[in-house]
Amino acid sequence: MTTIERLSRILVQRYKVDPAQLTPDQQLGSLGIDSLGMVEILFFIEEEFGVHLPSEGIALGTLGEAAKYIDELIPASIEPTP
Amino acid sequence: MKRVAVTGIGLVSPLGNSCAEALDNATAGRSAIRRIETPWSDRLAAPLAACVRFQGEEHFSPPRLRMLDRVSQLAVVAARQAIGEARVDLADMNRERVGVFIGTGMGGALSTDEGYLALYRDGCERVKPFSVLLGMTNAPAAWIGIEYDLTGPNLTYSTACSSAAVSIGEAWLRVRRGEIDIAIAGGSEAPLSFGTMKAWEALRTLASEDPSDASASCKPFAANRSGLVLGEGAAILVLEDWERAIERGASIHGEILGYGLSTDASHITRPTVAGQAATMRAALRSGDIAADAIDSINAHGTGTQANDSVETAAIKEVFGERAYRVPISGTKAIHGHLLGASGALELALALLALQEDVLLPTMHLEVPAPDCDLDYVPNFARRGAGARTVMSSSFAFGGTNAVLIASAYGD
Repeated sequence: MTTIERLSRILVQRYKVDPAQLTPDQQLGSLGIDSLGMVEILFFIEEEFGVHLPSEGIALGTLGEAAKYIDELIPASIEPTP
Repeated sequence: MKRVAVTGIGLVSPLGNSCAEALDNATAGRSAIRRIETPWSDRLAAPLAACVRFQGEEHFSPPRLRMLDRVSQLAVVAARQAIGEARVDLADMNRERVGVFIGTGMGGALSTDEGYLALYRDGCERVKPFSVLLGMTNAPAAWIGIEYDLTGPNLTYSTACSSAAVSIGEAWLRVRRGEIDIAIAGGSEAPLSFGTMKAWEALRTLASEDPSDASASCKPFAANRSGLVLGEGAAILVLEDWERAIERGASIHGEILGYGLSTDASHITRPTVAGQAATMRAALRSGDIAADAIDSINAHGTGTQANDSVETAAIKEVFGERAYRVPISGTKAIHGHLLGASGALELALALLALQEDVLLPTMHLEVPAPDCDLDYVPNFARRGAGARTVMSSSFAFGGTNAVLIASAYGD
């Protein structure tokens, strides 16, 4: 399953978003999820992908951009500590 | 001063999730106290509680539900029921003149407990993102205000076991003074986590299990009483400016006539006769009501050694010789102690009982304690006594005592 598919699954299952809306260029901020919901999504992303997101300064943008951002974090997160 | 009507009652309680069901069970003396079956209940000395039949999923969409501790879920659903029953169109009025007043003793105790488990037991690095919102004590009141866009005062009272009575009393004062037209007032409690139950057990206030009938373990005023049983639930009332209620043709349950508030200020748990009596007198004074005008009492009646003797003595002090002729109902015997919601549930049951002209029984009272020698309406309801007024008492750890006086509609 691709990162976009896994992200979409979170949005559909947790927020009842219509799957038809979930194209790569869909702005996540335009799905009717409020600011607290966006905070919660970061929690679910951390849980789903095993990554650690910074506390501030995260702009997920579109679904495609968010997936790219997560993909970039994944190798860093699984890198063994020296 | 304005008169204050009760135009709606919402109950999500161990005795049922509607006024009719709860009153029916209370009248029949059907106890909601049970042995609970949880992964941790065998680690409790007496795994007893009075639970509510309630699934949050049936009332809230998943994203909203994740923001609501059970205490808020119960409160919002009880408020919906009360507002629906009052048939009041809040959207059509000045909502700055509608307030929310909710009592809760433990707030989001279940979520707090869950967070501790994740952090300390499971070694998680994170807790749920909404842990603050789930656990904060004012969440139940806040969610009711948000659901109905109520922009008047939104207040939470946490005075342990008198929280809901204080909420209703403080709401009454504001409607009475004309500061607001309507108050959504009551209490909610969801304390049945392992941590909370263990804490109450440690204080040695919980009842031991009746070996022949677990549901009869709470025995207010009885010689063999051994303590309280924890319960969960919410009870919310709609208090409304009397004239407004009449004008719109509202169906009126009754009228709040008085509210007394005072403090023992002597011991963190041990009640005092002087403190309880002073609160009853303050309630009478607040509405300029003679003690002789009180037809019935809904007692605090926890089933603990300390409370029931002291409360009996306080009633004697206030009512004198007449104390022996005022029927007293101790309904915690069957719905348990809802802590910060108990005062609202008990006032609601008392009002509903007045409307039906029934005196609710104090169950499991085979042999009264020697110093509990009043008329507790033992084991069987009485009909047709003609009681029109009730005094409903709530006394709390911390010493904050609250007494409400209400009458059935028709006076």
